[in-house]
Amino acid sequence: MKTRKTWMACRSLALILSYAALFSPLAEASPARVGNGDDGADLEKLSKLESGPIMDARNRAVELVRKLNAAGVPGLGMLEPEISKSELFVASEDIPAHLEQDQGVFHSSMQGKVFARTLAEPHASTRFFPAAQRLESDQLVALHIHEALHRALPKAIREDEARVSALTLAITTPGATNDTVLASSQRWIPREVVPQTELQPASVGPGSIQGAVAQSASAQSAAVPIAASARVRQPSLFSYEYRRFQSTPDEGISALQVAGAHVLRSDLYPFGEGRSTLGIGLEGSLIQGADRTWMGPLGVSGRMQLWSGRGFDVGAWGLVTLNVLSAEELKNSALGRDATSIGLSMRKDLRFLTIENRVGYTLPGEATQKIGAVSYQHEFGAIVMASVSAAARIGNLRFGGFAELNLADEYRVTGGAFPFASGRYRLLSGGPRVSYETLDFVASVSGRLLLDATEGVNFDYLGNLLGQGAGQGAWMASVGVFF
Amino acid sequence: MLLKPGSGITRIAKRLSLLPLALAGCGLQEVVDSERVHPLDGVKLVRASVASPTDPSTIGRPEYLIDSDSRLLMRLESLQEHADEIRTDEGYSLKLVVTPIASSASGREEARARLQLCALARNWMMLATWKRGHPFDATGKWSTPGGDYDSEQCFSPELTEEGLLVFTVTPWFVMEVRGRGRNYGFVLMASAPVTIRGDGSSAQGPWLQWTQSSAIIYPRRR
Repeated sequence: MKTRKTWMACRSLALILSYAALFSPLAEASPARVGNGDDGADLEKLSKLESGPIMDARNRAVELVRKLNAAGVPGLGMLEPEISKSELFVASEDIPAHLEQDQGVFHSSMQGKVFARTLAEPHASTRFFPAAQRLESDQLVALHIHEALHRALPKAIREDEARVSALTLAITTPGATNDTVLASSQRWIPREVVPQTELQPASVGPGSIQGAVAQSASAQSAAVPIAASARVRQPSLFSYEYRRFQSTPDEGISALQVAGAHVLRSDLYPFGEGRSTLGIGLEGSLIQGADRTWMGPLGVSGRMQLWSGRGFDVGAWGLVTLNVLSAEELKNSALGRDATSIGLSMRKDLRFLTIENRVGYTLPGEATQKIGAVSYQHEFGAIVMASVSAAARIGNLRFGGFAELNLADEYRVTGGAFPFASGRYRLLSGGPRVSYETLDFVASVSGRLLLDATEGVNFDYLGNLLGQGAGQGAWMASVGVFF
Repeated sequence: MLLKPGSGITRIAKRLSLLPLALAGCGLQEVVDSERVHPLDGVKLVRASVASPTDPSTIGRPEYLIDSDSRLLMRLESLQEHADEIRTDEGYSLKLVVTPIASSASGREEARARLQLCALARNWMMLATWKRGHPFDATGKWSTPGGDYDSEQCFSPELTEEGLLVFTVTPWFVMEVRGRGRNYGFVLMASAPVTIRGDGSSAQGPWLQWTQSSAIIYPRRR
């Protein structure tokens, strides 16, 4: 009997010892990674969040990130899907912030209670603790963004609390803009740690985090964001302009004594999206003569904002100026030609300077003028135009000027026994421009003066009243609204 | 013979070929002469007091006043097209005809004495003014206000029985139009005021008249 009991006790002891030997490695090893290297205590009594202040804060966080166009910032392409798609849980009890990873300002309260935890891996869930429920809405937004950054940032830096906190501040600070977020990312996210695969769309179905990442990545075609002040955001324009022409001393070739012009312009961009918009423009004019006013040329244009990025706005236009509605006096003159022009513009807005380059080409054209019993044919050669304008920016005020060179093929006049040919000629013009411009409104005063030209040539030779104008130049004043 | 415009090709004078007309069936041609009358289409009054090139008083008027500060630029714009057909050999001439407005024979005689037609030395167009022949570049400015003309190619008129003033401009035509290939037209000047019919006056505006040779080709009979 005694021997039997002894044997059973030894067997139990051996069993216990073997269990202890078996589980001791597990006891020493880290448990399943359910937190930032924690001991799993926060997994107890979790319930899934479906509504409430934390869910509302997540929606606000998503809106904020979209507004700042974080998807276009290198290294932050996955931030929005990580915020919006991560499963949210809430624990029933607070836990102390005893881990090293809990010491960040976004992770725990002054009382040492953890707000939330997540794994520094993509698509991990986020666990909130009761301490988080006492946070203000803005603080919850920052918390969502911070936790999502731990999952969304490149692997090499996503557990670097200093970098993650700096980026969180850059995104959530009042007055943040895409430019500030971009600047912060360039400082805290090294280019070399941003793998291309993180920005590549994944071939997965919709509804999943991978699908959201793919949608976000594919929707952003360039790594350069659209600046808040980019013209492509509000490209449509409605404006009025008055031009006062400087006539030539001995009448002009048009012999119409054109004194000025009232021009109404409407450019609407209903087509396209994002960086590229396509629109149609209309220009109507009233030409002011010495003692009367005539219906002037009608301009019809197609305009396109081709691209906006790195602070550049690139646009193209095609403009046809027609005299179908013009007064007979205008049609029966050298200014009665229909002109077709195409061009390209590139504009860069710096902090204190705006620079714009334009190149254009006007097709050859002709006009017929009958005086008495003789008909004269005015043949205008093709015109190449290149201009540079620059303006210093002081707030919304711009002070600057422009220079424009027009190179034209021969201008000919034939009629009866009279021939005239100008040969190829040039006109160099320039002038000042002062404007007040915001994203919504523009008012400007400018002048176009003939600086240099082939002998005897002036703007009448171009035959483009709505374009370069007439005579020796013009002074212009305009107001307009962008939308 | 002086013809009047407005009646079309009024008369045809035939000049027979050397061979009889019966031989026309052999495919010969016959040259015929015809009197041609062309109203001038390039008529522009330039006046020292008028600066506008399109002033209505200077174009298409039924009459024009010619005086020391008012001259009439005249030209048949299409004359060069007929240059090879116009006969200028002996007995044939090119005439420019104007109709003076005068109530009496003495008035018409006074007009004859006052008027002078001179060949212009610089081209011009219907936008001409007292200061410029045309508005394009420096070549359009008259060296002498009122028009640059060649004083050695000036013509005085003859007064016809019908009261017309005829300028025989054949030498100018031969030298300038046919010889140099240029048609700058004329400037009509007056030492004292003279009024003439203008191009706005039907059938009595200034005109050019000449004899033109034309060939009629008869096809060969089979």
